[in-house]
Amino acid sequence: MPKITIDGIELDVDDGLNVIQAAAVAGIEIPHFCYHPSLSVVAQCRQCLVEVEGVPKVLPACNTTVRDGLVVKTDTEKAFEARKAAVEFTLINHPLDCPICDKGGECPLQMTTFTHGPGYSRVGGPEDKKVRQKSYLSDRIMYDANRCIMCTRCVRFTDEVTKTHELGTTGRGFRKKISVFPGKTLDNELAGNVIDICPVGALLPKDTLHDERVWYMEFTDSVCSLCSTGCNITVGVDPRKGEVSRIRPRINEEVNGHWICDRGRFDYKEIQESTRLKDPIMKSDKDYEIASWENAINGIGARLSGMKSGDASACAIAGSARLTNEEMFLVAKLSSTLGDCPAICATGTEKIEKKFDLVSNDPYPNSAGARNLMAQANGDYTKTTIDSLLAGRIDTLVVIEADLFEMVSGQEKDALSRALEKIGFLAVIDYKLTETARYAHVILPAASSYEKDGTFTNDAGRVQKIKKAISPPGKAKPGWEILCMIGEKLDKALFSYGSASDVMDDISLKTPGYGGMSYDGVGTVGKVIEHGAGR
Amino acid sequence: MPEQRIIRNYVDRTNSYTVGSYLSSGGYSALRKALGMAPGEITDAVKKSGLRGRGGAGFPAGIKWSFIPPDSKKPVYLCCNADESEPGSFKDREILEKDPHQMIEGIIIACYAIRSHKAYIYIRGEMPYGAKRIQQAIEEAYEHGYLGKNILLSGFDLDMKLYIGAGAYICGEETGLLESIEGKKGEPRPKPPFPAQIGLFGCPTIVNNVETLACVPHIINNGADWFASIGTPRNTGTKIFGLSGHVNKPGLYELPLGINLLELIEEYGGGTPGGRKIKAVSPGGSSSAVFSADELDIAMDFDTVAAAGSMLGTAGVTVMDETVSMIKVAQNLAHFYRDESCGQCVQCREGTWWLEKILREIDEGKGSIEHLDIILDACSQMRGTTICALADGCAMPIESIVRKFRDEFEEHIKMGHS
Repeated sequence: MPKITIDGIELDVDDGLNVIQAAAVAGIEIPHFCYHPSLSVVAQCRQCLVEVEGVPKVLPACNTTVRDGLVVKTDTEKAFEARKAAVEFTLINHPLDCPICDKGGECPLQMTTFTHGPGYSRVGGPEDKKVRQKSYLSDRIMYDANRCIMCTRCVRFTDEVTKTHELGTTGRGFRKKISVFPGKTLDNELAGNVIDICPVGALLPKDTLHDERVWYMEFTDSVCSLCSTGCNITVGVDPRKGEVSRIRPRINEEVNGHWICDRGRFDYKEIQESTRLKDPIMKSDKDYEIASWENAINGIGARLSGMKSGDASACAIAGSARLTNEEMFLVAKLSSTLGDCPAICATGTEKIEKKFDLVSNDPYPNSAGARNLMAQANGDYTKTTIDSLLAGRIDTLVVIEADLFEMVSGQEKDALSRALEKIGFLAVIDYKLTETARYAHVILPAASSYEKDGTFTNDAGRVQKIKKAISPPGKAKPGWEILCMIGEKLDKALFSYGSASDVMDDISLKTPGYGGMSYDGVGTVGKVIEHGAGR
Repeated sequence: MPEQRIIRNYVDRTNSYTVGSYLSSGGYSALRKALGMAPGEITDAVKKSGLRGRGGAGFPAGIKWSFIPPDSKKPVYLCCNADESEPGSFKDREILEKDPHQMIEGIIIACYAIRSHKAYIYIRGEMPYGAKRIQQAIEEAYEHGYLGKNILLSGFDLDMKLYIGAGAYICGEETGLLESIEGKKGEPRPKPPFPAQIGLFGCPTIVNNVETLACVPHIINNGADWFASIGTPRNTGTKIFGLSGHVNKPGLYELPLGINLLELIEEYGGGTPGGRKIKAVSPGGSSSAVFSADELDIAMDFDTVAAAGSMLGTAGVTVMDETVSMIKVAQNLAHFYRDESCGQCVQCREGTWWLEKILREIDEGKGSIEHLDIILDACSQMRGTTICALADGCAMPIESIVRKFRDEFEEHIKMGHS
């Protein structure tokens, strides 16, 4: 390990680090725009200039690799003046429209200007700057060439991460700008990441332009629920609006690195805007009525209590791998309380193919959890149970975050409709009105994955926490809470959990592979289940 | 006193560009001799000759060659930099158009010395005439067995390819040139790594200037000591000076390094038209700091010119007499560098734009005295802070003009005229 000195601080650092990384170890932040830890070094923005002992010129820290005896000075007048000048140069043609720029408040250029820059402009006013047209790199991403500081992070992202090569630079010198190659559009599945890595407000999501300011938002660390990868995210919520305002990747080198896919980034809107269920609904004769939670739960409780002593095979619970580990555990528990009635689960494939090493072909976030926590969650068992439903042998059915119509083939859909029309009792727990819910006797409104606590087990066996970023709409409740309420009607002691975390503590005691798992232990980056458990 | 012609010796001959003419004056004899030597001996001879790069930086050529790892597992490339685009420089052009075989022979010898089997000649796109001559010369060299397989039965193979640039000044920067040959935008690469480690297509590469390579056959033929005896001890050999601007006899003059600048202008250039007073001289191409009239009694070699705060550069000497507006000179320079900056580094992309804007405003009578300090600040921060030297090349002359002719700027600003 090379021994280096940065601003008088001696430290041993790993081989191969550059001076920006090494300085970070010493707690010194060297400002930079073009350098990004997941992209190649181009040393173009010239913002990270530092002095190195024995070298007459200032050097870019990003392109200076540590070596034994290296002495770096970031705080000399020469180094600071060079960085200060770099800010002034960068701002010459930058519009200084921070008050109306979506990046304002979280802009590396803005922040570096505060720490380094001159407090005034020697160029003149807006009329003295070059002005260029805004354009669109795709239906979703706007490019403002005026704000662009030509760091080329976005170009390198498409060259090195996605290898889709949509972007390049055209023009020379002050005419240079980012362009999409003729005939292409920046629409690969990871394209939205260029918005995050842009160190200024040059690349912004078109559909939320001018919608939000960062200082109004509250951020919650969570995990994406749209595929089995389990990308780490932060969910930004504007409490004034009471809705999710944006999703951004959260760095986890073991899972998603710095990136998330565009579904994970943009599809929160669909969940937010879908027909959300906000109240418990009960069917009386042929009409539907809004009910109180008490009445709805009592209704389900009464029906299930009757099944406890009856024929377990006439009763079933259906879930999907969208459920959290905690909810799956509670479903399994409910099934055993009901004399081991069938508990089936829609899961994704065990064979995972990933696009860009990130986007999985399993659309469920918790298929691995289903295989571990719902012993009966296998394809054959599910098929048998569905057949028995279609044959009219199941008379009481609880469906939670699953749509039975997605679990049957096209030809079976009519048979399913007929079976559900005749079924004695159907309760559906979901956050949106599914096709199945149209046949339900009781519908309970659930929380979406942004609105509840829990854990998912991703396809690599990593247990990761989702966290409530926002309250569910209306009277909706998290699935685990609803399951507990139902369970308590059957056996109060068994289902009296105070939180999702309490359920996990129970899981850790009773489920192979999950031993020692707890919310504290899972932490912010997750914890892999013990070897041998299904993944 | 006549020129001391070594490289320019045969340029005035009829059909001087043909292989026949070249052979009749002893051409390709150095190659024959070199192929009988060990590669290391050639590099040592070039080191001993003291030959310094003629492209502008003056780096010793033999030392550069020795940076190529002798046991490289990857192919080694040599690129001849014929992208002569520096305003005020036109020395390589004559070699390219009138004596291309001399350069080609130098390339072959250099390739043998660094164990390269593929050489590129990167010629500026605006020199189609030179390109035609080079292409013809390469074909002739193949026909005569100086290129291709088993050159002169020595067992040494070399292929040579002409690459025509698309018209960017920045492609004369050696790593910009490599990017351009690779088919990319000509944008210089951060260094390290240097081309001798990771150059063309990721392989060890030497980039040498046309004139540098043209010296090589003469060093091999006449010996390193002979070459070292010309010029001054640390600045050996002759140099082709391109004299232009306000002189009676503009043109190329091949003279030993260390020639006095005044002597060059007065004796060889025949002084200024009408005997007008010299105001400023750019000694080494547009990127060099200008000398004022009282700084011209100076030896034109790399070290002396550098010690005087400028650089010998390409030795393209531009003389400006008293009729010249130094404000327009500075603005013209800024305009050139603004348009030719590749746009990677902020100090260059924005700095050249800023300088051009301020100098234009001053020229148009809209300037202020504060502008002069802004120019000097900007120039100082454009120097030594970027990937390549283009920003330095813009800042050095402009800074020197504003410092040395500040009175002219101040008077112009106060008068407020254009």
